Amino acid sequence: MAETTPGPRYSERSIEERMGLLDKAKMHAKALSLGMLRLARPQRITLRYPMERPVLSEGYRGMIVLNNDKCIGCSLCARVCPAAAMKMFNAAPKKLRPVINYERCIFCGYCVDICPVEALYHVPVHDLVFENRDDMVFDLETFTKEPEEPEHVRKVKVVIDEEKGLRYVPVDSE
Amino acid sequence: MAIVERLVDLILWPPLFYYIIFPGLIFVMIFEIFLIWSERKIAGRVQMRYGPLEIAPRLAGAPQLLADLIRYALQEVIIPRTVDKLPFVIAPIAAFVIALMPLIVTPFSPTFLPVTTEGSILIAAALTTIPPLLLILAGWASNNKFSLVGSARESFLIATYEIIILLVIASMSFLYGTLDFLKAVEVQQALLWGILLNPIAAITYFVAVMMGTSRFPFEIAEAESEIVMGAFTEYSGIMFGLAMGISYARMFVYNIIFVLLFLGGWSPLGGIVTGNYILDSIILPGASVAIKAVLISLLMVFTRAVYGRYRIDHALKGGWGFWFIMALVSIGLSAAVVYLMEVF
Amino acid sequence: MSQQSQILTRRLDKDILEVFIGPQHPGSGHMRIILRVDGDIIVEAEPDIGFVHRTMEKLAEGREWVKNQPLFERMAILDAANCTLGYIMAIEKLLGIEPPPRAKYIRTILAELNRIASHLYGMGIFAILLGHSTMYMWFFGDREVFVELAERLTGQRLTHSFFWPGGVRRDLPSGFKDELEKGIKYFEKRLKEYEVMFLKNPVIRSRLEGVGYISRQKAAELGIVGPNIRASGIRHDVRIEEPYAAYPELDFEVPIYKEGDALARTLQRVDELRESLKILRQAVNRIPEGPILHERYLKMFTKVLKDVLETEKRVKLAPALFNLRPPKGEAYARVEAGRGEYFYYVVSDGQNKPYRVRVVSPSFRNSIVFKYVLPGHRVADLPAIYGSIDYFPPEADR
Ligand code: SF4
Ligand code: SF4
Repeated sequence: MAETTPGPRYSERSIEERMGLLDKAKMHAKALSLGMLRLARPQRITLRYPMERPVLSEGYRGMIVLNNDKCIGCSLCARVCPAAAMKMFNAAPKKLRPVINYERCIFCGYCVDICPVEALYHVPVHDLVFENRDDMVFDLETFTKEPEEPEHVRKVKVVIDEEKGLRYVPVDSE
Repeated sequence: MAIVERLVDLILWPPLFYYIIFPGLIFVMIFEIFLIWSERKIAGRVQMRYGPLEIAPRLAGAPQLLADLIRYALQEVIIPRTVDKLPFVIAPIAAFVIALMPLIVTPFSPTFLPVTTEGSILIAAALTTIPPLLLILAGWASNNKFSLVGSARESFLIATYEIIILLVIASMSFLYGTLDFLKAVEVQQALLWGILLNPIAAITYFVAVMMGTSRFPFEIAEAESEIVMGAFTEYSGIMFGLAMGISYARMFVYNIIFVLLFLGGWSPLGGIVTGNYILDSIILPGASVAIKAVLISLLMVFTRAVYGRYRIDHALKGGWGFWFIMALVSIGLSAAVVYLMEVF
Repeated sequence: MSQQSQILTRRLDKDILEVFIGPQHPGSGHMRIILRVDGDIIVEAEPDIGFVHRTMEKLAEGREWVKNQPLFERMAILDAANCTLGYIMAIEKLLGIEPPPRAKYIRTILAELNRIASHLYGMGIFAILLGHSTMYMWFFGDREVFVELAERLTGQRLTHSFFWPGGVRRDLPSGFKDELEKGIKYFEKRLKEYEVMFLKNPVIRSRLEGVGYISRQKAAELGIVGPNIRASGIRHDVRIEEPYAAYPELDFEVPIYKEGDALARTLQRVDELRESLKILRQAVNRIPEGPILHERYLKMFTKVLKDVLETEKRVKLAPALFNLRPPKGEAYARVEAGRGEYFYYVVSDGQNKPYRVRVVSPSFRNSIVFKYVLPGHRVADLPAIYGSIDYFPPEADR
């Protein structure tokens, strides 16, 4: 095994000498030419967001959807919610169901993780728009429906790239 | 049709044309819009982003500045209760107007100039020194600590860069043996461009102008993270827009002088003869001067993408300790060139 | 003069001007620094903190143990893993458990990703305070790579809430190693460009050299932490002093600079970025196989929970973890976060909520610097010092 590794340790370093006039001129030139290089060959990582949407990574903790058939009404999700965003209510006599208030939710995913029957799951959407704040309090019907992805936007996949840092590769829908 | 002819005549009436259209107010406005847009575009390209884009992406966001201008124009101009109203209002307006004044003596072609005088270089140099004083006034009138600090910084800087600029201009007029832009350009056409005759003067002038028009790394009098907006902290609306435009207008004027003194004025396009008076005497030479000035300005705004800002004492130290000496050296160089010219 | 145009004034010493930097100032964070200046020289500085105080310690007493994790990470949201790790470790000490090795490695990976992101954030702010807009964009742009990596690992860009007592919430996603390697390679290239554009840029150099000097003695007296104290020549890094997670098994150096000025602090951070890359590389290569949650809790997993763990590599929150009742007692934990040492002291009275949680955050300790280091500098040095300290008000105010 790797016995030879010295492990963590301190290392004393020091700043090199102050720059002389010539060094300064050299560094000025270097900085300016790097700027010029980037001006000539820009390396952009801007994602033109509303027009292009990234495909969120697998396991992204996005919005939460309830699978009503699976839920057993155990209330654990409401109890664990650190932001008190999830509340139980009586959907029918003896049938407790959670609903969510997106004004409060912080997308910690605790509720999804605690549900003993996997009735809650994340969908890879995090940017719904609501017209007013009341709409952010979901009822059972909206909570059990997966939010719709906006259409007519280009979907791109975020790829980590050695040259450019991040690259956006268009995903051909269909 | 007589009305149209009258109108055309009126528009082409030299004083009107010169002051209002080219190279006066309208041209400077367009220049500023273009320059600020390209400054943001240049910075965007270097900084891994696009710069202005959302307004008309097909035009690369070019109308962004117009949109900003409209917003400024429609915004309320707040005049705080505690300011000294008259100087507060007058200072930026006067500064903008006076910043454009040197244009009355800068020729754009051998024939296209409103005032012929033997001392045009002198007048232009003198007029460029006035707007900063009004900036100090603006800061003083604002009755705000940040404005005050901004003004104080500006006043320190003026003393530095004005002397350097004036010395360099002196060295060039010494070299050309004239105080008239027309003759200076003639000498350059006969001999060599000034930037080749006296490169030290050119570089020194370039840096001093950057210092004077608060371009990076000398954006000291408006340092946002330190003193908010310098002398213009209290301004809002169109007054703020105007105040922002002053440094660009000054840069434009300085660069016109740069072109006339160092870059051969209206050559090469000015030499073309087509027979059409307007084309020959205004458009071609005017375009070559303006294009060169724009290119120099672009170079100046490019530095924003590479530098942070100096501290005021560094700038002063650099100004007095290095560039002032360079300015003196450039006079020496001019003398040497003049001597050489006489020998050969 | 009319009555109206008078402003309220307070007598100060002759020639002394009082300037309020913040909280509504483009160069201050959520804080205020009250400066008394004589001309351009600061004679007195008074850091006025507390603008974003959220009573976190008190709030923590009313919540179940694990619920406090999302709360505490809001102290320094850009360094979420490091600032919650200490809390989780303190709970583990109370419970008397150690996370399995694989979980430790994953913690280390996330902690280092966060350290890089946090340093880049701090330096980005620093750059824009110095007026260098390009470096601001570059630092922030490159930070995105690490934020993206953290998102792939945890499912959230910033608010990871990634730890369970006794383990972590998710296993490394497939292909993570290659992606990380790519990110590291990219960043190594960028570090060279930073050097040209920022670290050796003569303008930046002249702003930083000799500015905000904190001597070794002064640093010890003030009790500052993190990169700031390491730049003053004091060997102090919790990763070495009190090793946690997988750090003791990894080979890396903690850079120490003696100079103690703003430049040294900046270079120290950049060197730390390099070391973090080294740590990341080793950690993903050496990561052992095994469980990612302590077996005591794994045993309690129902079938559904086990299925999810196997198929999705996601550790669900067993009710036992949620209803945690650590035995009566107290524990502390220290963690080296991006800005310095986080200290957590927790007291349990055997209930399902903590009796007391005390957090000492690095920014709080560093805030004292303003009072003692600013006087004698120019006003223009304030951004250089403020930025080089990498002060983050929400972290200090808690
Ligand atoms: S994600 Fe977190 S905050 Fe949102 S409902 Fe679930 S537990 Fe509550
Ligand atoms: S934890 Fe799951 S099963 Fe229990 S109430 Fe919530 S959604 Fe239903």
